[in-house]
Amino acid sequence: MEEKVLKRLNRMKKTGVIKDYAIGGAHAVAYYLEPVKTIDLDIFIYTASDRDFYIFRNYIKKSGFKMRGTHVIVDDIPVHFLPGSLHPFINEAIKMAKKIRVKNISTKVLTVEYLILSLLLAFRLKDRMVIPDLLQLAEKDKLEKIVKRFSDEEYPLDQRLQRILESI
Amino acid sequence: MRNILWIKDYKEFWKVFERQREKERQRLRSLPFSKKLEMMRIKIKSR
Repeated sequence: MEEKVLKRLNRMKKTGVIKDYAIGGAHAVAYYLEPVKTIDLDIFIYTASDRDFYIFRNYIKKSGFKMRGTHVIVDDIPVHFLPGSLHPFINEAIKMAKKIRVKNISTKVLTVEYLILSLLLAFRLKDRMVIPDLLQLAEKDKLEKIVKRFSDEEYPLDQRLQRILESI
Repeated sequence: MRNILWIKDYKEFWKVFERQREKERQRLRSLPFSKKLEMMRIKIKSR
């Protein structure tokens, strides 16, 4: 079923509804580690401008997808769309995302470094629990540079990463 | 593989448990992404 969603996203990309996208969240964690329990599919949407966001939003509205809370139900899958306007790291993460194929469908998944960054931003217990395993697959220098760039007072990502490293 | 149910010593139990769990995690990690998606789908449906 996720394959159907990916095909639809690829069509949206082809027709200009979205510029690009990448898989994040639990599905990206599962790509690098073992399958994990989740209730939705997190899709990061590249939006360079407000116009990009409105085009995407209008498509969702006009296509008649059902909404359930923060999710858009696409082909029976609750999808959580995260547009680039939500945080500056999103567009960059999509640009740098890893190209993969799922049952011959081309798609992109966040690199392990940007995935860790997204988990440091969310920083719920379930996020914190998978970071140590993902760290083993990450390029430390690359990760530290990204984390430093996106750390601020509201989201002290460098301190959060340090806490995780100290707990291992 | 040693049957974990027959181990009486708790230290030995956790040692074998950890080893077996790690082995299973490594097996799951090595599965193709499409297979992992299938397994996650079951987890979503069972909610």
